[in-house]
Amino acid sequence: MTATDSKSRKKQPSETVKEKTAEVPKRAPVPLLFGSWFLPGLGHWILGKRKRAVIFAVVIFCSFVTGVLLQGEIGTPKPDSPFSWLAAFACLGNGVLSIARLIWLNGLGGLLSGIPFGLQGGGSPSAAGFAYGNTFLYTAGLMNLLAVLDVSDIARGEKD
Amino acid sequence: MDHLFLMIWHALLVSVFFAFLWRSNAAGRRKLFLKTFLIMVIGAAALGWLMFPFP
Repeated sequence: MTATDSKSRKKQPSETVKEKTAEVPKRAPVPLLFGSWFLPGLGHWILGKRKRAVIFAVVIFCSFVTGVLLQGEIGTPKPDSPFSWLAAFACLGNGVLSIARLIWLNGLGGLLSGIPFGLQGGGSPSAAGFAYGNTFLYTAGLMNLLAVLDVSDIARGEKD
Repeated sequence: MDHLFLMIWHALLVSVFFAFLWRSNAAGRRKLFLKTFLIMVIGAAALGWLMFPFP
């Protein structure tokens, strides 16, 4: 095969796919994702999506505060309850809001020494709004985790 | 504590979030917001009524 032949040869579909995947970074920067999780809206703000950042921050903050005001409990792992890990995961999605609330309830020393089973999540199970409060807290955390995934997609160029 | 208000407040927050997450233009966001908000509020009210006959 001559050089002219190789130049005029059409690209195979697999080559086009390889070129496209090479253009898209495989991973979003970890500090960006961490910042996005830690402070809701920060990731979108850094990426220039200012309006979306403000909306996400306000929505997540409002949901979290509503949950706390309704005396919801920040999910913490409990030794005899496997599902409590899921609640803890959802609440931990709130980033600094969740950590600040845990410090408020346990103190910094109590937070560090209480991991994983000695943490107090606050709230009052006898309160009328307990279940609703939990729902707001879980929703806020899960929304922030979805926002982190959105930041990852935007950073990798897969989404506007 | 008003249960209906809490349901509407929750639906509002979630609808706004998903409208901005899944749509990038104003018209699309408005449409998705209205759709998800109304589905959640009307759907929850309808389910509530349907559950009346059950103990």
